[in-house]
Formats: sequence, C-alpha cells, structure tokens
Amino acid sequence: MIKPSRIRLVSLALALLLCLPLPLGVFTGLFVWLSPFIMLNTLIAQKGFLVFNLLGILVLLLIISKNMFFCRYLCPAGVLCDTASGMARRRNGKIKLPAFGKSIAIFSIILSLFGIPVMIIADPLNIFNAFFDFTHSGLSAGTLLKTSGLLIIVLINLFIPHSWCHKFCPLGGIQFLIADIKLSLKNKEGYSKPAFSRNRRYLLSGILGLGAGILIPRVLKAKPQAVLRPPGSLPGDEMKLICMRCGNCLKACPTNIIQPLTDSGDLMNLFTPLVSFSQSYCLTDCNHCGSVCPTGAIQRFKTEDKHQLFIGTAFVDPGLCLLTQNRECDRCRFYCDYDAVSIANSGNFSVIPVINEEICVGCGACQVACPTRAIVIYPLEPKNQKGMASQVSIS
Amino acid sequence: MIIFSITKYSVSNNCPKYIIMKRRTFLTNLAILGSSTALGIHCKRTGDGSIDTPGDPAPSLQTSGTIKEPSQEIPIIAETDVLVIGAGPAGVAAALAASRTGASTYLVERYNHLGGLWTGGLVLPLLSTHALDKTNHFRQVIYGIGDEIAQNLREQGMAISEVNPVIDPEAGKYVMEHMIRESGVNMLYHCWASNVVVEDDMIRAVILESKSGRVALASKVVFDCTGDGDILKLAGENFDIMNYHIGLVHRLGNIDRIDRTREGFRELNVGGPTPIPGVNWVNMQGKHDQDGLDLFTLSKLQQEYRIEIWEKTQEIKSQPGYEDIFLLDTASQLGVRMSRILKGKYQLSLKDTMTYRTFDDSIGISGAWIDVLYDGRRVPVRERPLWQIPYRSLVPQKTSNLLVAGRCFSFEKALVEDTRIIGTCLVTGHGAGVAAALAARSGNTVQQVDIKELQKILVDQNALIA
Repeated sequence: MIKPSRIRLVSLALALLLCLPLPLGVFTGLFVWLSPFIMLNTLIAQKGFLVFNLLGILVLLLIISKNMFFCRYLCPAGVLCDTASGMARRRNGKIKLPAFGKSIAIFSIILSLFGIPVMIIADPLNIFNAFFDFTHSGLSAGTLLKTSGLLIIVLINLFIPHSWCHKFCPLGGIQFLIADIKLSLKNKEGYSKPAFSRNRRYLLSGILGLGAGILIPRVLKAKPQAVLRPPGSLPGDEMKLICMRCGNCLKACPTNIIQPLTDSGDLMNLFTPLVSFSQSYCLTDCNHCGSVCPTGAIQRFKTEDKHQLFIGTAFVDPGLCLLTQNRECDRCRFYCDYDAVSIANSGNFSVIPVINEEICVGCGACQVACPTRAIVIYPLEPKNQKGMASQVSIS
Repeated sequence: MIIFSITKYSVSNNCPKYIIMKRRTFLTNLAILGSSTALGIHCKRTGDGSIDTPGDPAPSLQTSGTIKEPSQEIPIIAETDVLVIGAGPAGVAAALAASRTGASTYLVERYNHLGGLWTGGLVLPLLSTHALDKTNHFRQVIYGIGDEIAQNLREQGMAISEVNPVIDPEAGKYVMEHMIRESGVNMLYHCWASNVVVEDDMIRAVILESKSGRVALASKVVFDCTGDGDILKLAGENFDIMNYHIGLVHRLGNIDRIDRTREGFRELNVGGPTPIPGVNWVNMQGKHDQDGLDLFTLSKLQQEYRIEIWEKTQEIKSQPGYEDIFLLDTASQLGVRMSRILKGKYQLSLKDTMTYRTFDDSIGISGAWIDVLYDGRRVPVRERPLWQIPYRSLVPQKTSNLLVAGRCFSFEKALVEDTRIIGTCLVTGHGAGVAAALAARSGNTVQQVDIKELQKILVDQNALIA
C-alpha cells in the first residue's frame, strides 16, 4: 500500500502543473474542480450543473466512503501546511482553539442558498490556485494581495501547528461533518452516544448564514458598475458574489485579454475578471473562460452562442476615423466576425463605419484593428444588457 | 447556344492561310453547316475588315427575350507557346518571363496601356516590397522583373521612396512598354477575351473580341491575368467570389501652390505625393460590397464617381488657399479591388504567411504593407514576416494548360490585403511566366512542371524564392 503522503505529493505536483499559466486550454486550473466544498456551494448557489462538477461529486463520494479522503490523499495546500507545522517551534502552552471549520461550512452552504457562495474564497484549493496568479499577471500590489491567502495559511501553521487544517479549513469542515454524520448514523444502530454534540453551534452558524444571506444583497445593491466582463459573465452584483477569484479564466484566455480588476472603487469587485482590449480581442471560436470557471460566474457557453454573449459595444470616434478624412481603410469591417460593421455614406462625399449595436457583441477585434484607435468598446448600460448569460442555457 | 468551329491558320505576311483541320473539328463543321443550311440561318456576308471572317453571323431575335447567335467560323490569327490575357503587373511580368525563358508569347490587353490598375488605375504605390526575414531584419523581398521595373523607374526619378515606392503612371507605362517590345512579346491592345475553347481539360484557343471582329489565338499555355478570373471561369474552374469596395483614383495638380498662409486655411485631404512635383494621387475608398463582375454596378459606380470627384475638387478649390488646385485626371480603370478567387491546387492561408512557412515549390516571396490581426493579436506591418508563394497556388484543379497570376490566384480571403496588391501580382506573374515557358517547351501539363528547373531559372532571373 502506497503511503497517503506519497499520493499527496503526486497530487501537489499535478495541482502545480494545472495552476501554472501553460497553454492548457479548458484544462487550466482543473484541480479546483476537485473540491467538494466549491462543488456543493456553486451547485446550490447556481442551481445548475457543470460537467467538471462530476469531479467534485466523485471526490465527495470518496470522502463518504473513506473519512478525510481529500485531506489525506489530495490536498496540495495540506502538504504545505503540514510542512509548515513540522517546522513550527513546539510550544508548551498550547493555544486552545475551537474548530471553526464545520461552522464555516454550514454557514457557507446556507449562504449559498441565497446565491452567495462567497465563502468558497477560503477553499484551500482556491487559495492554492490563486497563489499562482503571479506567474500570469506579474507582481503588483494586487497580485501580492491575491497570493497572500496561501502565505497566511502557511504562517498560521507556523505559529499554531495544524491549526488551519483542523480548525479553519471549510473543506476540512465538510469532511468532519460527513465523518460526524456517519458516526451518528452508526451509533443509532448500536448504543446511543450523542456524536452530534455541538448542535447549538451548528444552529448558530446556520442562523448567521440565513441573516447574512438576507442582508448582504441589500447592502451591496449600491451602484452597479459598468465594466467589460468576459462573455457569459453573470451581470453586475452576481459576479461580485459568485466569482471566487481563482484566476482560471485569466490563465485560460488564449489572447490574454482577461485581467483581474484592481482599480475599482468597489472593494467587493476586487479581482473579478475584467476584459481589456489593449493588444488582443476575444476570439470567435473560443469558450475557455466559461469552461474553466468552477463557480459558473462565467457561465459555460458554446462558441456558436457567442453572438448572443455581449461584452460591450463598439463606439466609433468620427474625428479619428480615417474614412472621414477620405483615407482608405476598412479594417473594422474586415475583421468583424459578426458583420456588425457597415460603411455608410455620411453625406458630403465621405463615408463612416456604422456599428449595429444589436449585433455587436463587443469582441474588440475592431478596437484592436483600428489603425487610429478610433474605436473603443464600451460596457453596456446595466439597463439594456442585451441577452447576457441568463438567456443562454448552461450546457 | 453559341457553337464555334475552329480551323487553324498560321500567320504569314498578315495573310491567314488554312493549314490543317482536325478530323473531329471537320466533322463538327460539316454538322453545323448542314444544320444551319437546313434552318436557313446560315448567312454569308463578306467583311471588309483586315481579317476575313468566314460566315459572319446574323444573330436572330428569339421569342424568349434572348438572341440566338448562329455558329460561325473564327479565324485563328496565331499559334503561340504562351498566351497571357491581361496586361496588368502580373500579365506584364508573366509575358516578360515567358518570353525571356524562350517561349513565343502573346499579351492581350483590353485597354490601351500596360500595368493595369498600377498605371491606368492610378494605384501608384508598389506595395509589399519589404518584410521581416527570419533574422528579424526588415529587408526587400520583391525581386526579379518587379524589381527591374522599379529600379528602372527609380533611375529616371519616376519612383519615390525605397519601401513601397510610388511611381509615375506614364513613366510606368513607358518602361513596361519598352521592356515588352525589347523582349519580343507580341502585344495585342484593344481586345477582350470573351471565350475559350476547351478540349480534354485543355484550353485549345482563346477567342478575342476586337475591332477586327471575333478572332482566336491558339496557345500551348494560357494565362489568366485578368484580375477578375475571367478565363478561369470560362475554363470551368472552381472559384470564390469576394465583393469588396470599388473606388476610382484621381490626381490633383498644383498641390505646390496651396497657400497655407491664407486666412481661414485648414488642412484638407489632397492625397499623397507622386514623383511629379505638384501632383498628388488621391485614393478613393468607394462603396462597399460591390460586385465588380456586374455590368450595371460598374457603369453606375463609374458615373457616380466621375461626378463625385469633379464636385469634390470644386469644393476643395472653394476653400481658402486651395484656389489653384485642379483635377489632373481620373483613372481610366475603375478600382475593382477583388472579384473572383481561384480554388486552385493549394489555397494559401494567412497562417502560412505569418509563420515563415516554406514550400518546396516556392516561386517567389512577397511582403506586407498593412497591420493584421493574427491569432487574436494585432501584428504591426513592421513585424510581419516575408512569405513564400507556392507554385501550386497558381495552378488550377483540372485545366492542364492554364495558369493564374495576379490578384485572382488561390488564397483564403483573410489574406486579401496582401495578395491583391501590385508587389504580389508582379511576383506571381514572374514565377508563373517561367513555368508556362517550361510547360510549353516540354509539352508537360502545368501541373507537371519540373519545379527544380523552374526555381533554377527564376533564381537566374534574379527572383527571390527562399
């Protein structure tokens, strides 16, 4: 029998490979899908099922058949935590901490019922995955903050050995809960010993989740921000709440147009995916961002449906356009895959590109192609967000 | 339906003499003669043109709203090794190359000048002369006949700028005329190729409409350098059609007398400089999605543009500082940018041109003049690679003696900005011209041309192929 720790090392290597910004396409950050905690939360919050969720369900079944299966065999963050704990100085006066993990798990799942799976940010796989964002976005204040998750849990373990895994980890919490339930079911058949002893604490977390679920949406309904999101993104507030900032979409995007939002006034919007068309645009035949999103914040879509998934819409500045200066150019029209650009007479012998806003999805090809930067993609007003992800069925 | 029966003549002292008639043709003639006599429509008139047209037809009105043209005999005015239809940059380069490689060559042009849109269309810049090579060096790539013409013009001060030179149209016409005459190419102006005679996937002759009536030219190899792919269509080859914007270029004079000190002066678009001081060429975007193969579209656009250019010039003249400007000329050819595209043995792709793809049968190299979007990214023109043109992309699927050079050779539409321009036309013309001469000499089909020999001769003729 192979030692669990060996298997976990293999798992670490694999997770590392999948987190790095390699041209993995739809398999970018695949490891994140293994987490049953993320799977449960997003399934409940989204009320929809994604193919890769099968991985999470498989792991959940394994956990049910074998206690703490994930921690023992799979968790890459656990390897690091255990190493840190091993290096920690032994302390005589042990700090006693209550185990929050199970409570966090219950709180999170109740909150997810309201469509707010916000606690998945604390999932160890997400923390691990997000750390490697720096390999993609380079070092900046923003990426430092994003990578700090892994550093924090390692530090916690350095000071209080094994505290993250045993006391805080919500994924661990789920597994403890399952183990508890299994035990209590077993005990019912035999002699009665109340294994579910901390019922009061669970009830409290549940009520807290309920309260938060009702309150959070009210607090957040301040100002919906108009930003360019990847195609298939959930609109406005939902994106803030459901995106777990794993960075998969950033890494999977073949043209590198998805960036984490860092300069927003709204803290809740921080690190959500943002589209910028400085060098490249959104390819017609690509759906990687939707495929790698473990939470459904960017919904899975078919490339054939891209003509209904609006990022924004193009706007032409006539003052900069070559055509209005009687110069030859048709780049915007030539590169529009959606036939949204036509060249129309604007009187006085001159012509000008006209954008059909009903058709334009804001893929950004014209903005990139325009030799004079006369075209800019603007976000759609939240009011008239045409189509959006909700109209396209999840596949 | 029009039935042509072809009898072969050879030309000596401008007097066509009957030499041989194929048995099959003879039988066809007999059948036609018999049937037309029976129907009573065979009408013989004696023509007074220089070439005697046997059985000058008298078309008859049909009740179906069409006209029935009776069968007729068309004189073959010459037999040649290589026949080039269209004397644009590609046709001129093809005819010169074929002739220099030892083939007897005819060049047929519908207008009155050589150079097509480059000169008569006033599209004066020779684009795509340069590109990046594998060592990241921005270098000249258009060599061979194209470069010879450019150098010649440069020496006369009739081409400005090293990269993508702008030429003087009259000087261009003169230089090419001179080269064509020196090389011994037989030049036929003012005639239009209207049909081809295909037998066994081979073009036996091309029928021309001319002031001398309908005449035919028999050739071992035929070139489609029409730009519109007229010949490849007549030969039954597969093609794509691309509607694009059609414009009309014009030139303005007295540019050097624009008075910028005048009160109320503002910069207006008066085009770009040409080698002649004070003369600018003004491009026109024109209307989009136009069918360059439609008689009525072409006529309508010609009319609109003629009026638009005059009125626009008057408007410019009315602005302070521009009073002395005048309309020098409008182009004699409408600027049809794209029409038919051959579906040949190989369709050159944008990817081929962006990845330094090498071809065993490369016949030339062209460059780039415009930024492209490739792989989701914008690639500026100064970073674009040079690209090889494979011989296969000039060769049609089935016709065994047809070659296509110029903007209608085989490529995917995404590549259109790089293939429809003068530089690429010159290179395809040169490469295919040599291949045609080889095919004519060896009696092989154009599909079987010895690539090694072709490339060797091209290198000897200063072409850049790798």
